[in-house]
Amino acid sequence: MIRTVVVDDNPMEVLALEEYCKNNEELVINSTFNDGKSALEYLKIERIDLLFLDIEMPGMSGLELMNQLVYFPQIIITTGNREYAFDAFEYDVVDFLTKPIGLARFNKAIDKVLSNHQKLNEVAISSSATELYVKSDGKFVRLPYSEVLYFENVGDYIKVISDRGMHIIYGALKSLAEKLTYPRFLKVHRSYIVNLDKIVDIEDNSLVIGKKVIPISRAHKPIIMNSINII
Amino acid sequence: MVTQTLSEVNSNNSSQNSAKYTFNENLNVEFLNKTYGENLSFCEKMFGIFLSTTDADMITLMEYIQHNNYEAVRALSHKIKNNFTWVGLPKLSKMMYDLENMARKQGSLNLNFNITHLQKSYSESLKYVKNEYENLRVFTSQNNTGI
Repeated sequence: MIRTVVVDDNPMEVLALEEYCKNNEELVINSTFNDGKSALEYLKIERIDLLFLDIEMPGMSGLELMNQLVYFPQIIITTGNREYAFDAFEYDVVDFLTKPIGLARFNKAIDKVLSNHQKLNEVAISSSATELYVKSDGKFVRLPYSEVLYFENVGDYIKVISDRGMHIIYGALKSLAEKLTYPRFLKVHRSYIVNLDKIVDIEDNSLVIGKKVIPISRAHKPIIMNSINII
Repeated sequence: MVTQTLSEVNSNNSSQNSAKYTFNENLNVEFLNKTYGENLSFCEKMFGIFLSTTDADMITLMEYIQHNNYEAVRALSHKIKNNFTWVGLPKLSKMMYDLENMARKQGSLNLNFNITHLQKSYSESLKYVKNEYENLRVFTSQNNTGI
């Protein structure tokens, strides 16, 4: 089941998305919101898998909402203006739908979501509050979260870099992020999740872990700055 | 552009409905048929929301235009422009799109020049939407339509 939330200030657009979602048994609408602030409060508490997000809304725009998310579900942007596409893709969204949204285009976007979700299930990882298991050379290797330095997305694979070396697993970083429960992991770029306890320093739009320089995206910069103690 | 209909998706559920609904030809019949197919309860809800929200928004929009409140005109026309498409009024959607762009340019064009044409087109079209909504209500109450 894909737990889904729709955020749009236009009730007709909300209804259309609700109706389209009804046609796919994988999708379950958890809630709908007509403004960004209410949605953000909900998303601080509830974990969801898919977010349909309008960009231009009064009070808080979709881009502002994404800036304040503490985790990233799969996000499909819905908007009446194509000019937001570039900004939206900075946030590594799954798709960008222009209104009015047709069912065929909607289904194409959902195919991407389901594909990403499926990859998550294929990732040979079992996670708990303190550790994860990585399938390597036919074995499941236990990795305490505290030993993980960072995760790096490379094509269809994820490099897991730990104190003990590197493992490569199949999967999408976004899907992995949804499964990681360790609060010290933070997505800092569409290709990187880092262990905050392993950061050596942060400078402008990058950080250092070990000898590795990891970029921090514009979208994720506010999140990381809110997550560290600055004296 | 909508290329797949809900009727294709819902054909199993709605195959028992032999009655065929015909939209008013003053609306964009092709779009309405493609979008709603046989799911007329969805269509009825969309027309209902349109009448309960967009009419009030249009009154507010006219006030914004008269007061040359360009940012408010831009934001509201952006919000409601596609509502007209959903009820088969693409020309009004285009007008709202143009209005949004004019307002974005903040006074480079005289909004008052367009308001008369917009009001006239809207009031003419509104009666078709109201009639269609009533027809849909009657039809869906007599036929088991929708998902």
